[in-house]
Amino acid sequence: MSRNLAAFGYFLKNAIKDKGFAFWTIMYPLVLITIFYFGFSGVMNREFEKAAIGVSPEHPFASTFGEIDIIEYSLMDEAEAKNALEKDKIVAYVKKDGSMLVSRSDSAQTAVKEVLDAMNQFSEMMKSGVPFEKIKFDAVYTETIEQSEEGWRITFYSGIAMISIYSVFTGIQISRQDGFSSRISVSPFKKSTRIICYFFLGLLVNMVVNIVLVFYVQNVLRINLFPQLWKSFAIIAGGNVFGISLGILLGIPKQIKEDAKMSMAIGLSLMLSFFAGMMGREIPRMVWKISPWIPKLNPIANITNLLMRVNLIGSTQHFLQDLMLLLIQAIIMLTVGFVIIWRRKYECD
Amino acid sequence: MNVIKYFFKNAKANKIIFVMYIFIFVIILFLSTAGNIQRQGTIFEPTKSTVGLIKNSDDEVADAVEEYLRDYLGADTKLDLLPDDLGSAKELIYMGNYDAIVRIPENCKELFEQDKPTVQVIFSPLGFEGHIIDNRMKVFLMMYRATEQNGQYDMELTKKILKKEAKVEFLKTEQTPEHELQRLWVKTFFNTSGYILMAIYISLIGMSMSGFNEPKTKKRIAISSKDDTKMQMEIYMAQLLMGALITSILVGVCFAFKGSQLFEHQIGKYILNLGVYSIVVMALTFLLNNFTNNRHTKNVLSTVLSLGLAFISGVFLPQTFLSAKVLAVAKFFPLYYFVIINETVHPEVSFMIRNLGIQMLFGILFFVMGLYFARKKRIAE
Repeated sequence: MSRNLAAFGYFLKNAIKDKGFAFWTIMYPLVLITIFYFGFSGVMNREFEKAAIGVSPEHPFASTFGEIDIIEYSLMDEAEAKNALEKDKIVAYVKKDGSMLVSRSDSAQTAVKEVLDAMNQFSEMMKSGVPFEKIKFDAVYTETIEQSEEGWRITFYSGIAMISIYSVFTGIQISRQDGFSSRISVSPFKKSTRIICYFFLGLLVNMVVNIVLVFYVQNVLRINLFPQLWKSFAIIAGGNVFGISLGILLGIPKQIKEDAKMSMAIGLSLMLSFFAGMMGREIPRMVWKISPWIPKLNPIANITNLLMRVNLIGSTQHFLQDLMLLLIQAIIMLTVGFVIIWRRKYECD
Repeated sequence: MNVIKYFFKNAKANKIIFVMYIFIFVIILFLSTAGNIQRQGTIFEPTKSTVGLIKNSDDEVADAVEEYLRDYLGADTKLDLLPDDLGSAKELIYMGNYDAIVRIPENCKELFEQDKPTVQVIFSPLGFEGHIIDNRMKVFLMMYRATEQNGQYDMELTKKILKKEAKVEFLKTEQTPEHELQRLWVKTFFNTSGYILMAIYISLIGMSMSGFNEPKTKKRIAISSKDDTKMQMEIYMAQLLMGALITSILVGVCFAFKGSQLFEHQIGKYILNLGVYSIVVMALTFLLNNFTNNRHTKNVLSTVLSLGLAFISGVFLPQTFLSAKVLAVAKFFPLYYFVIINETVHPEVSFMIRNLGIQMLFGILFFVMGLYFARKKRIAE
């Protein structure tokens, strides 16, 4: 036991001494999340902006516009309105006859038009012979369920998902075959001790960094990204296991240099997180349209979606199923990786 | 000449950096402009919201809601019927796959006849698209209910009434939507160039310079007949050539995409700004190369500096979205002034001189600091 602990301590020291490992695993996550924080700080508390419109003072129902939630109106004449439209100060102008003047075709103008359409439709209804008293203005036929679409959150979740698989760097160290590995192979440490020590070391170091990161986000940056803390840790731990398994596989080819393997790990994790939503929701949306299964097979997209579903949407449906999928991917890679490492012989073996 | 050749040989060995950043550049450009889709032409074209339907009932009211939504989407767009899973529905709304999802409960008709909420509309409160569907459902159900006679509802009459629309007049402005879209594209292209140039310069020139500090190369330089001053001059020349090449490639790519249309968008302003900014970033690279020889540190600085400054200076998000504190920090770096020029539609000469001048001052500061570190390094050697 004490021998194993000594080995563990030795490997930990060795890993921390490695500048690349120390930066990408420990420092970079904090730097990246801080950059995101500064970048998005202005849009984090964005609220719905009402459509500013101008209304002719001669419009018969001008004051009605004040009762509509999505509109903010001011009375003005047409010449003033044209000037305001050109300068984008208002999105539309409602003339005295109920028609609308716009300078763009966008969702704000469409929303205003919907309101004007409804006004016209009610008067059309009267003309069609439907008695006025049959219209139940007090009845509310829809129940609104609001789901925030603060796009910046997916960048944070996918960033943290990417960081959770940064145990990949320890994985690469497990299967590396340089002078260090040869030295270890002639030392009293068994091959199994080395592999097991590194495996748990990777999990431990990365998990500690991830926990620090989560607390940094929640308590220092004060962004409430993880209301479901324990479930989030379980998802991140899944990402850690996946990362280390991926690293073991990446580290196997003898022909590829250590630096190149590190670059491959960084590049691959960046690319997967890019498809998961690191640069916004457009790309994952496109991927989803091709097939909803693709994001499930992309481990970073799977982790991102799990974090988002649990924390933002408050749903635990498919939670175990998706987490298991991630672990199955990891187990397959681990099995292949371990079999290859176990059979490997060093010149000095 | 050998020095320049050796520098470019080193750069070629690291071409993957260039390829990688150009790939990122294209992706960012695509993503930044994809969201700016405005309807073209001079007539009003209403935005069509995307809708999904969760249908748990097959009664008359549920069928009417489905028919109404199909009519709204038109023949070209299929109405997606989704499984009854609120979590997935909310996820689809968050991801922007749908602007709104309408959920019809099992006892839809019963609720409708009791004048209670008949359908649920799931949407984001931050955009107008979801509100449009919510409003439409409210109006439709209110009118459909009003057509009731002897327990029967008149869908045809409801549809006829709903066809009545307000007239819309399109105000002709000097700037057409197409012109505005092109301007946004050019602006985004040059703003993104600010990030990419910094990352490529620091990383690629840094890696190429590291070759000169390898022990073998240092020994070869020590026994060569070339004097030190000439050698340093050639190194700077190589760096300038490399910088000019990278900047020219970016400007060339811009012309390849938009051609002569660029002349309608003050392309001279953008190129002048990019040229000055390139010199400033070159000076920053010179400073960093004299500050450290370590490849790893250069890689880290390239990633962190370029990404960090791009985030706080308004490359990825408009400066109007950034908080005052963030902008106050950004003002200590040249990228902020580079972005400000790109963002201004009709800049006055004094505005241009002031912001280009500030960038140049940064360049001089970086260069002087670089000289200091270079001298310190030479003394140490």
